[in-house]
Amino acid sequence: MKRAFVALSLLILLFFFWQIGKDYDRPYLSFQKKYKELLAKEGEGEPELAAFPLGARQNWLVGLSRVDRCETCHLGIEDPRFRDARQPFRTHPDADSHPFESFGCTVCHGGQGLATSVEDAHGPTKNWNEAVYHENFLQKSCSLCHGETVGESAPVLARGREMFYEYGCRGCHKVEGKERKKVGPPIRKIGGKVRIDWLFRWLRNPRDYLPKTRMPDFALFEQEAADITLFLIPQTQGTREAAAGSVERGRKVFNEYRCVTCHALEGKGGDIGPDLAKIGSKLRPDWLLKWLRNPHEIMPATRMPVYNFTEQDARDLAAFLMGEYVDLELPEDEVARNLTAVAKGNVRNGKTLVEKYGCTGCHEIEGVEDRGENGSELTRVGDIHISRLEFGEVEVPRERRTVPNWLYNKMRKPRLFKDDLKMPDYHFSDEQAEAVTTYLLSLTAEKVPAQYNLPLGERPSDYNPQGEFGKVLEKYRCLVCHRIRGKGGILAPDLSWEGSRVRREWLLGYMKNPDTIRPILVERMIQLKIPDAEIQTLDSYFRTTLVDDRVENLAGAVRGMHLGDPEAILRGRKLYFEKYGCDACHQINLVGGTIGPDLTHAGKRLRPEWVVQWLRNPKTFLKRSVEPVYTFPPKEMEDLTAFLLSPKGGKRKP
Amino acid sequence: MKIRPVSFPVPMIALMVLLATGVGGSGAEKPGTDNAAARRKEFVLPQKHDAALSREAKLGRGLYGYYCALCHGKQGNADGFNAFNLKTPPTRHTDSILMGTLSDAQIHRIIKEGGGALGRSPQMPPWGGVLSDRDIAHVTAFIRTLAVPAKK
Repeated sequence: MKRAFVALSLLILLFFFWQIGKDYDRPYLSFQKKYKELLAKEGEGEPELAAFPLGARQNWLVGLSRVDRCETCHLGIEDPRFRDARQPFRTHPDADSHPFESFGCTVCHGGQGLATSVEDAHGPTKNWNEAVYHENFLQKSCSLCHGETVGESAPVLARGREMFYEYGCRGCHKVEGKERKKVGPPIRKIGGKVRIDWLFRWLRNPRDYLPKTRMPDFALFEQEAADITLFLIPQTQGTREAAAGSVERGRKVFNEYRCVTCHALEGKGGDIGPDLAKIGSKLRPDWLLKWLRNPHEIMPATRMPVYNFTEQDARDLAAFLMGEYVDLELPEDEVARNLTAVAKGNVRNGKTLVEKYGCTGCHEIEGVEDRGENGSELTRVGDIHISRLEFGEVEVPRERRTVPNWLYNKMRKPRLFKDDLKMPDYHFSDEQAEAVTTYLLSLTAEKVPAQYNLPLGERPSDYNPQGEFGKVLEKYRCLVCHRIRGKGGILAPDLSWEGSRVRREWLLGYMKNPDTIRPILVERMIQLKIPDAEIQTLDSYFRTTLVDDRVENLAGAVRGMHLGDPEAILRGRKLYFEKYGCDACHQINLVGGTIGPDLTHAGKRLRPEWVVQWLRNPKTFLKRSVEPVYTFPPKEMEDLTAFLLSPKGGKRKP
Repeated sequence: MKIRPVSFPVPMIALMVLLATGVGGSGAEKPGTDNAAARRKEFVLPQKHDAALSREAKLGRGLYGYYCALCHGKQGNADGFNAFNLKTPPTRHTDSILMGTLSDAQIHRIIKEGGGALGRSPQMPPWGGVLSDRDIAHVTAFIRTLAVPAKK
């Protein structure tokens, strides 16, 4: 008994010292010793080594309410000598713009700043929700200080944000402060629009008809698809009737109005509007005719402009599309088979299914009440605790159970965790899934103090012209492609300074009959046949409002230049072709590159003041212009301008 | 109530035996085991993009794709859409022999000051007004990744 007592006492004593000893041998010490070895090799010798104390380091960021001890092991993050060192010693690539003293690590990277062991710091651990973010999702943190519209500086986050609203996620998921918008077309009297067999096929697999569609895949059973089809189109339809019109003339109309700018046909064309290659197997001709006359009446939010088609043009165009573009891969008997399947449907079940799957998240549907978002709210999804996420039937080891991993997998396969979930599959690629996940992770309640706020990127523009000009802009949907004062697309030239850029005579002619300034583009200015009164409205708005002082103030300087002098023109020609090699990117009389606009008729198109300002600095107006910035001496500037504006022969295309 | 001493260990042992032999129900004939295994495989982790490229080269690739690829081609094969409009064909950045003759400093200077300033084709414009020295260093780093080292 006595011996046992002594042995036990010794054991306790041993345990006591072992515990104390353990405290002196912290897990980070081995890293610090390795770092010291590295320093002995790379560093400046003894004094530096002697000045390196072992022990924990921490960075108390009062403003951010964080304490980061990461530098205890990540010792080289601010030292450029360790650029190629192995982790944990490698230099931080962005230490200049985000210095460690003011930002720390965890505010961007996540993880547990206070921890001093690899597992606890990087996570995931039991009692710390935020593990270190994978580099693919890291841009989620940019929005914390830089705001939501980070733009080019955080491309993944920007893409994710764009996708979130473009794919209509907001239709089913609430995000506070963001307006709900239905991205799909309204469904009203759809029996008059599409064929029953098409709708059935579409519901079963949208990508079968339109590979690039945003409509997700609900993986419906045949019976479900039949029920919904029958609910949406209760009345029977006649067989496929032909549109009355001339197919041959319709083809000409299609080319003349340059429909291919927005719609692909036979694999070629833009992607602003849907691919029309199989349109004849989808639509009913009378609906198409109505649509061509005025699309805005049917779908106010469409991007399609109102064309000034004559009645005959519209009829021929409809006949051309319906007659020539049917789905050739569709087996003969499938139409009949689909119709038989639909006939077995149940209207009441169809309505239940439409409500269950939340079709009203994207579509306005006649006869179905919209009860608001039916998915879970995402306002703070970035803060969610892992225990609240259901992994369902998928066994995932603890070290992989993180919020980002869950979201990423949910984006890739929305029904991975459970079969009977409602969320449909968008068939996102890995990159797309990463982008959306990054945006979702950025939705947090976390706030940083004011001194950290530094909004980047373009702020959303509130440009919204009223009056006659606004109406014309709306009618022709100019802002789908063109941009004015930060609002609109980037496909076509920015018109914010159009009044200062082009000559009036040119503009009037161009609006009547747009010709090609950039020869290689598929997306060319469409033919709108704008009536004279509307052209006048556009012209006067351009002249009075869309002007830029930097250009207008050059009027005096330009008057002093000898732009008509044949010798100046000759000198300019030499500069253009020999010294600066401008022909690398610009064409004159079909000679030269096709990156920039054709300059054969630049003198008819551009105002001299604009040319001078552009030559001074092309980035004044377009930050994304690929034109190099030169610093021309004044004399060369004058000569170049003279040459550019001079008539250079060449026939104006009819 | 009084618990009889034997009643406790007997069911306990029985239970342990059951658990150990796996007759307890959890081990045998679990429906959807294949499905569960398949799903576990489908749960994937994000993969690093281009782990082989340095950070500088990654930044440079974006600029290269935007400004240079129009002539030099996305992969540096001198097959950009505008390459065939040039009087002098653009440099093929995948040509390891040619690229081996140029130092980083030379590449930097050609990008910054243009071909004309160095007695090469003036159709290569100077990018010094558009790209900062840092940007050009990134582009140079990316160009360096394009050429496969010459085989010996």
